[in-house]
Amino acid sequence: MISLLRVLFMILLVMPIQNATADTDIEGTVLQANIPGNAPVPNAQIQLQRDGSDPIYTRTDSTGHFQLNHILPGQYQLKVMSAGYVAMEYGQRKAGQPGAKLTVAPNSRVMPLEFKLIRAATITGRVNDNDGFPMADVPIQVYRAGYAADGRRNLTPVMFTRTNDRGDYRLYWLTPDEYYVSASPSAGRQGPAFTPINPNLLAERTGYPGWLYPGVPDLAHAIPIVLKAGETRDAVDFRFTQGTTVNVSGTVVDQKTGSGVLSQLAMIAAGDVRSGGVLQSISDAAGKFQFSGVASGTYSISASSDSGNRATKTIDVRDKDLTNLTLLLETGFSIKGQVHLSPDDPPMSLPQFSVGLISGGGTQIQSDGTFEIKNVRSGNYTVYSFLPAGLYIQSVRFGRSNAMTDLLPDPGEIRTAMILQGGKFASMTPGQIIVTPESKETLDIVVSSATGMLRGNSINVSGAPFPAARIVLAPEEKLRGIRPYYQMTTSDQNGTFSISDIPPGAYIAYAWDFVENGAYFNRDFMRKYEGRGVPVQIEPRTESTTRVTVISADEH
Amino acid sequence: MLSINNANPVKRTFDKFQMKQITLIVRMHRNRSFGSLRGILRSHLIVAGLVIGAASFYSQGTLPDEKPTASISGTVFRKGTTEIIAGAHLELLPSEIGALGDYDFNPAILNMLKSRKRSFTAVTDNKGAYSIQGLPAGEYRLAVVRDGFTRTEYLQSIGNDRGAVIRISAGQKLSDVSIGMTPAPTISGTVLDESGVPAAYATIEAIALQYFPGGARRLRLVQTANTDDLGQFRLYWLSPGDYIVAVDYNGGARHEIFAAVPQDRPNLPLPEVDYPTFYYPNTPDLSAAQALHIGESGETSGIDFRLNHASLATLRGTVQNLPNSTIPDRPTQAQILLAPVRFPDGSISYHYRADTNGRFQIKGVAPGSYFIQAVGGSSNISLRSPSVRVEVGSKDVDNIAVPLFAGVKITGTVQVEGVAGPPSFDTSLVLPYFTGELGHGEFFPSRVAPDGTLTDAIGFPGTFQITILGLPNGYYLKQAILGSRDVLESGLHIEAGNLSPLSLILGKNTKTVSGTVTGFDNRPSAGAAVVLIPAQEFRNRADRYGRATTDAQGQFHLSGIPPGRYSALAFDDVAGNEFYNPDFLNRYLNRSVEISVGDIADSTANPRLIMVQR
Repeated sequence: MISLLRVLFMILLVMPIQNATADTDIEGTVLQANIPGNAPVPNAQIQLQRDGSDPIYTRTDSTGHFQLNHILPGQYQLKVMSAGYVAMEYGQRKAGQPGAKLTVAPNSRVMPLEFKLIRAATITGRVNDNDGFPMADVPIQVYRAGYAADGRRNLTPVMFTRTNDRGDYRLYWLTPDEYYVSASPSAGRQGPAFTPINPNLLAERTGYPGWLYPGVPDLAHAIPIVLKAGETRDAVDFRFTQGTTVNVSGTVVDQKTGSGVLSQLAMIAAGDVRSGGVLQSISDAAGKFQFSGVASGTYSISASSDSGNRATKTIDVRDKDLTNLTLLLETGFSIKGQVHLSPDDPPMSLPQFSVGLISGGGTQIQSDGTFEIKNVRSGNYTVYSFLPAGLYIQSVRFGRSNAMTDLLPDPGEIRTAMILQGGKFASMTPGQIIVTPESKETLDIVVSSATGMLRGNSINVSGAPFPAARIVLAPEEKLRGIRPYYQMTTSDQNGTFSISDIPPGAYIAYAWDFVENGAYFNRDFMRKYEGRGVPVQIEPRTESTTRVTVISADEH
Repeated sequence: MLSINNANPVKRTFDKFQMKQITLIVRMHRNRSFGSLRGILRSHLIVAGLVIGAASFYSQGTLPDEKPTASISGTVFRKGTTEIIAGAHLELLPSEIGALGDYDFNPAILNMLKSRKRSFTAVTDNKGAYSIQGLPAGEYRLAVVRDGFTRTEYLQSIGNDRGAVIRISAGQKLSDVSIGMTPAPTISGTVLDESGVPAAYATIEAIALQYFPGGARRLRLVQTANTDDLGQFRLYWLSPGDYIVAVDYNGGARHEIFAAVPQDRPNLPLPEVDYPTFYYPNTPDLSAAQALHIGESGETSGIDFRLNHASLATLRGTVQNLPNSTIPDRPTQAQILLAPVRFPDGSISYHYRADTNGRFQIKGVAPGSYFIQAVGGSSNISLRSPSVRVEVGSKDVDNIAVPLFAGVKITGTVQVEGVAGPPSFDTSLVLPYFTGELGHGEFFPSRVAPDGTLTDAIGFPGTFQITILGLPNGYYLKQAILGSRDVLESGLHIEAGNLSPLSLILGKNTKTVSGTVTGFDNRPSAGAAVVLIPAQEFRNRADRYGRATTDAQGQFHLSGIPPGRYSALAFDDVAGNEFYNPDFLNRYLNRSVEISVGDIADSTANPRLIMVQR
């Protein structure tokens, strides 16, 4: 499957040729793949973007030709899109994978490029209830089997839509691949999130399970839909029977006073697919609450009071009412901290950024580096920070706890809670600190700008440059599986790559011609490639170099 | 730390309770499509938090010890037929909860009020029958919702947004309270670009024309949909009424970095050229738009568009932190909201981000009038600008200055007229709020401490109307004294800096107005819309109007009416709340019954039914 797609997506990679002008022109042709006789794609959108700059656009003419003039030297991403086709990046071996940077060197020329676009695919279907009536406004999600950001196999959401009043849905312009489709009538029904609210739609539609096609509760029984280029797969239908629902009731009690507390509550069904949605409720002044219309399943039920105290409990709902649940509100407390610049660093004023405890709250640091995280509850916490580029976390101490060395994950353990903001992962500590209400320590975070840099080349077995290889810089063994300690890039058309702002330490550099996103976070996947990487030591404020032989995905 | 991985021009899709939640809003995808189910769940949770958070201002009232025994039962059927409707959801609401139009069409307020009152629900069985037992005595309205049908209240007619009040006395068994429903109508059509190619993922808007207190006519976004790859759309299950249909295929806005192509549409190219917003019948000129009259059922198809490009403008400007000791001098990455003036309530707005120097650039803006507003700040401080109006033609607009202000604490008290000290009733149930020019786009709630002081209210420079909801029966907001001046009519004008304490004075001598509406046949008219129009100076205040729908005997009963002069009118149709429109009103005022509600006695008015000519 993969090698077939690779062939489909292969594009012509070209080498620059010396030329005498400072700027250069980029030209190329966009053709339809799999059509004999080089059928052009007219009006295709060409997007050329240099890091940090606004993209520039052009369109192909009636012969599929495009030209971008006076392009200044630099590294560019070039992307081709056309309605009904799969978007393609320069250097891309498979849709959804990163492309390669197109390097425009001073006084050079870029040879004409050729892109062969394949047709996108469509899935249509209908959702009916057991009486054959269409179900409107049902969330439909398409997934691809892949790797999560923490290396686990998972279903990656790809495209989302909702059924219309006829119960019909249409997911169009999908990249040909293997997909799973889910329908979840009880999830994400209109709620206060959506104004305007359609008063003619029921605010809640409880009691329906979330299913994967063809109407099964889990991935093990699901049937993947393999879409070929240009294919429309119709009748990916669902038929739902409303399940029995029960009531869940109980009391929210303050841990300290033992008395009931007015609280807001939410029940969230476990899992992405089998989701019954989010149920909401408010307790009375004595803390008594009730959820009605709860379908069977595992839920996380949480309560929080006006003063910010919270309680969470996992419950299994079966076919009987659950009564007399007790949720104990734990009183939050504050911990104070300070971000320091490493004493080895030249003095600088700290920029503003946020720090926090994963699943424990966060805050912005003040201009003097101090911060206070409020409403923390006792527990073990990984510390995170959204550091600006060029800084890394050097050490984190909380009294005697050292978050760099204490409570490290066991080999094979995956610590899930990644924090993502604006497409960027937070830096995080590999270990954890222990926090109790009695903790009087301050959280001392040392950041440093003493990062290193790596330049390298991807080569084939005979030592020749290998263009557009996926480069992964994996951390030492104890940090494996912790997303922020990995560095990824793609080599350019000359097989060269560079990575900056790397925290100093021991790494292993790997290169693949094609690798699934996130697979390299997975220990089982990486075991196959033991000894195939190149050890690299990153030193502070130093540029290291390496040459990495590309592993071919066809080996497996 | 929530992450919803959609960063694109976001139509703001819910109402802000507090400034600090705005950062969450921007991550919500427009048109209810999210990158993932997880995204949906998370955003629901956020909003749940907001709504419930606001609702938890209120503790729930304790139920009386005696078990109530009244009941109501009936059947739900398809109107004009004998066909019953099974699986219809009924809600018996306390009648003091008004219709959405009573609250500036702000569903957040409606939800808040609903969450603190007990309502009762039932579902019709397979004979279309429902029954609700154990009811306390009271006044209610009964609403029914069923997928595929228009939400209907008991005795509600088209062109009226509410049904009649059902008065239930202790132990009463009301039967045969039946409601006829009509299938909800749908608008469908196709959008082609100027080359005749289907326009995929264009946003289609169903917009209602709505009058607001004071006579302003605004467009109110009712529903959005996206075209598919065939250019087809369906705006479904609308309520009958008049709609403007708009197409937004503005690829220009998607050039914005913050406003990238939706993440779950990786193969979606930009439109080939920039398009302005088009209105049915295929015009970019809003004043040439024709409202579609959508009747009680069926599908209005063939609402097709063939777009033409226009040169779109780029807006550039700077967010300025005004010198103010409370604002940290480090740059604030402000969020920029761009809202077309045609939706002044902020029901559609696009979100961008200024850079750390406060500069922003918004590309692909279609000609028209817009409000730009900036919000920013950190977890410690909320910053916000007034709405800056920008007229956009075919040329770029540069140097738009958007000044940021720190929030101004609104302090003051709530007092009952002639009573020293705090109000004797439970103030935790009272919801004062301040609404700016953008309607519920600028909505700042407050609450009232047991000692009668206003708490938690933050305002920003601008003019705000003051409203109090949730007062016990009989009370109304009579005056809002700032310094020595009553600002109830003019609104609360806030400038940067400090604000004098505000004294909200409640009147408590409200009265009841009741009567019977008769038709031309001199017989009582059921389901008529009765409107009490207040004196001229109060016509910009929704809380001074009285609204009722007559019951099966043609009778109505309006309580909580503040003293003053009123014109009582009865209409067969008040679509779009047109009685707020002075021109409309002047046509019918000579047929009103003039009443004076005094301090002592209740009043009676027996208006004749007016058949509205449209």
